Amino acid sequence: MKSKLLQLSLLSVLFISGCATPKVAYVDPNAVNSLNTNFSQNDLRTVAQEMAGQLIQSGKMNSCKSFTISPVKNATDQYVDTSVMTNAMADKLSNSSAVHSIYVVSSDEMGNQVDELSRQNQSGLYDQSSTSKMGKMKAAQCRIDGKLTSDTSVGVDGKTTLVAYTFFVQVFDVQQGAAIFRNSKNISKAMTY
Amino acid sequence: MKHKTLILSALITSLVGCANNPVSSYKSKTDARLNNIYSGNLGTAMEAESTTDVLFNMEYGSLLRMNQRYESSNLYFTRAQSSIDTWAASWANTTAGKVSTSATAMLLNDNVNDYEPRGYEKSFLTTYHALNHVDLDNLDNARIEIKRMYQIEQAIQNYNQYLYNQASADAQKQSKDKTEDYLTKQIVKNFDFKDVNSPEVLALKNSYQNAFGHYLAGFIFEALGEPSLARPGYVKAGQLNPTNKLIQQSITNIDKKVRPKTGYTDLLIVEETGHAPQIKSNEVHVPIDLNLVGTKNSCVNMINVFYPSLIIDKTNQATYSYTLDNSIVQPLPMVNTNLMAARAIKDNTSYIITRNVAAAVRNIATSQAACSTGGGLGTLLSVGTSVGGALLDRADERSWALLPGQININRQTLAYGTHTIKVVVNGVTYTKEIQLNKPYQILTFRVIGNQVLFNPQNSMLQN
Repeated sequence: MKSKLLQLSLLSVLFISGCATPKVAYVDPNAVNSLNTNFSQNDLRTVAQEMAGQLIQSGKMNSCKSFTISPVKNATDQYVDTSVMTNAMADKLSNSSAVHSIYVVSSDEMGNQVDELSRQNQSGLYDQSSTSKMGKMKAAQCRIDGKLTSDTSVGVDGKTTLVAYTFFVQVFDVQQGAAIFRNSKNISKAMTY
Repeated sequence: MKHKTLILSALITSLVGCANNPVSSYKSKTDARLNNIYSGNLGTAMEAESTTDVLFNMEYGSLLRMNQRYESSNLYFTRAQSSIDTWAASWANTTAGKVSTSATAMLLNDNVNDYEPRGYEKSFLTTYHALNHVDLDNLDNARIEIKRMYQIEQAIQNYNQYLYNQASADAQKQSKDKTEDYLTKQIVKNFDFKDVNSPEVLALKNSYQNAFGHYLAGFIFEALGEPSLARPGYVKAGQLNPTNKLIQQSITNIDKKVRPKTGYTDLLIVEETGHAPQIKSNEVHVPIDLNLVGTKNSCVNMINVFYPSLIIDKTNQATYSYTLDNSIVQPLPMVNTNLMAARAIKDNTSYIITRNVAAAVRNIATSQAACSTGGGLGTLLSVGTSVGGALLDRADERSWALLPGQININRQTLAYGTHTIKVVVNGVTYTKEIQLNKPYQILTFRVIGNQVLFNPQNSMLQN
């Protein structure tokens, strides 16, 4: 018992309140965060790029002269910024030499596009011979639609949590409403305490 | 051993004069503040300080918010947030982050530590910071605070896992030490934790996620036209508060892409009532017999057991119905801070037990040493150590008391123009005219004592 007081007294000068200065470093953006089962930025980019890769391989995109991407619906319970997925797919498809279809402005981007056209045509500030004209935008022949879902299950021991994510993508011919491509990509993450 | 007893007595005496005074009562401080607020003296309830004390900054930020001084409130909330950000960054991706509990706290008491906000207080700080930005008509900054909220929640989850692992290790260690095992059993027998073990408290998913914060996140993201982030806000709010029908309706509306028609406002009405519970330290003296665990000739036959209990605000009701353009609106309960505070104490039980055991071990060691000294000095030391121990053996009473006790919401779609809200408190009608001219707006009011404090309604959310 006496030694306990001595230990406590000695410990009293050894604060463990973390006096170290925080350090900042660049890290691998593709590094896997194995601490939780959340859908990470890396997961977002990976599934979107893989899906775009499969779409390119299918050759279906070349049946569309132009395409756009609708906002990916987030049906999980996590704060997932799905614009990262939309952008990753648009990047991969637009930069692929195997895809001849051109990317046209999406519904998310329409606000800024309309603002710019209005500024050029209605503000009175521009030489009208140099402005982009209203009513000349290219419409999308095909539309890519995506949805992210998740399903969480807990092991019988209560210590393991498994979250299964599914990224589902369809490509529609806008005029006909017909799906010309459908695919899904699954990711499962497990965490054990 | 005599000199160690003297060192402890000197340490106690010296720390009494410190900012983190181990024998001070935070409840007394908040009593005085609340009396001023109830009397309508918001300006004098607290005095401004330039301090890094996170609890002061949260309390004073709340007071300034009640007083509609949103920019000043943000200054104090930002100071409080900077203390928490360092902590949160250390726990963001690990279960081995920054621990603020010092060995001094174990030797003396928690008050010597800088205050570590409870999990729910950390998430409320971002929620109120976001609301201040909404009131200042800055949705982009509100969005930053909302994002911070769910990042901090992840850090809290990691930290709680660390605490759970630590508690398991402590319990194992204590069970192996005969004296500590005996003391633990005596201490637990004398805790009164009825309030924190109620079915309502146990029904909470956890102590740190507040349904209102997530609903507000959903609303702000919806107003910003980001349905993929708005939906999880509403979904998480629904997981935390499954009985609120408005939440499910909000999810349905997001799925159906329902937005206010041109010329109409989707108005979120936030009613805050009362204040969060204060914490009072309870101390009881418990007889012990160390001879039962093999300690010979022990002169110690008593230990102090201390534990926190909640003092719930009974001045205000949980909800107040109100009229909006003469139609009665019933607010829907969203968050009960009393339950969250109770759950935070319940989840902290193992640490409270460890603190009690450490205090008992300290008191037994110093008293035994004083007994061994003998004579007049021994008697004096014995009295000194027992008085010092009794002064120190207190539960931490600090908590963010100026948070509301209850948060209720409702949502109405109204045409642009002037509308009137009336709230009746203790027979007195408080009226506010509101101007609606944007698709999404938030009206917040706080009922505290006999007052209704409306926000100024300059929060005009963008399209």
